[in-house]
Amino acid sequence: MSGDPTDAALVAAARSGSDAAFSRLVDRYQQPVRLFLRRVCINPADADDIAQDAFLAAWSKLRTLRESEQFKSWLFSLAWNKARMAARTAVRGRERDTAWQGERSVTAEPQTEMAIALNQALSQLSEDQRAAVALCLAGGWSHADVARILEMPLGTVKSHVLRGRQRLETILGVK
Amino acid sequence: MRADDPLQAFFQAEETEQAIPAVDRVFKAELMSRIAARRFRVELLVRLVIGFALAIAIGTSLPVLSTAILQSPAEIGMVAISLVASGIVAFLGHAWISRGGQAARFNLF
Repeated sequence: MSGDPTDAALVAAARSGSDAAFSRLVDRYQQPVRLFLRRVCINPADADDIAQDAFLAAWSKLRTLRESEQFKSWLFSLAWNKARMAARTAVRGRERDTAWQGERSVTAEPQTEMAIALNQALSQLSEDQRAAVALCLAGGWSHADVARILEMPLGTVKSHVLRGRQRLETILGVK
Repeated sequence: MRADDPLQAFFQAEETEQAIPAVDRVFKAELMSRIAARRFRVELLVRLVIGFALAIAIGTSLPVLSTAILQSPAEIGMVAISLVASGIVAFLGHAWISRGGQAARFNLF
C-alpha cells in the first residue's frame, strides 16, 4: 500500500480482513470524531467511550457501507447516532429533562476563559443545534454533508447553524 | 467558517484545551482489543453453529448411509466411505483456508 492511501482503499482492505487498514482509519479520524463528540455529548467524559462504540460499529457494519469514499461522513453519522442513544439513556436513567444542559457544565472542566465561555454557550443550544454548529462551524463540514450525517433536511441544518451561530454570538458577546 | 469569524477563536481555544492527540495509541489499542474480542466471539459462534449443523446432518443421514453401505458389496462400501471421508476433509480444509476476513460480515453482538 502506498504512503497515503485513500479512505476507499483502506475500507476495501479492512473489508477483506485487514486490521492494519482499519487501524489507519482509526488513526485518521479518532481526533475529529472525539472532538465532535465532546462538543455534543451530555457528559463530555463519556465522549471517548461513545467514540469507541462508534468505531466498533463501523468495523461491524463496514460491509453495509455502499460508497467507500463516504467513510468519514458515515463514521460521523454512526458517532452522532451513538451520542443520541447515550443521551436518551442518560436522560431516561436520571429522569431529568434538563440533564443535557446540567451535566455539561458540571463535568466539563476546561481551563481557559474562552473554552469555558464556549462550553457554557454550547450548553445553551439544543442537541441538534449543537451538533450542526459543531460540524459546520467548528468542523468545517458543508451543510449538505451535515444534513447527510445528522439525517436532517438541508433547510433544517441551515436553520440550526444560522440560529446556533446567532445564539453563540449573542451569548459570547462577539456580535 | 470565515477566517475572520469571531467564533473561530473560541473553537480553536476549546480544541487546544481538549488536547486530543492526532495519533492516540491508547485509544487505538483499546479499540483494537475490543475488535479482536468481538471477532473471537463471532468466530466461536459461527464454528459452534457449523459444528451443530454438521452433527445434525450426519446424525440424520447415518441410518440411510449405513443401510446403503451394508446392502452394497464390501469393496464398494469401503470405497464409498473413503470418498465421503475425503470429501468432508477437503471441504473442511477449504473452509479453513478461505476463512480470512469473513468474520467481519457477521454482526451478531
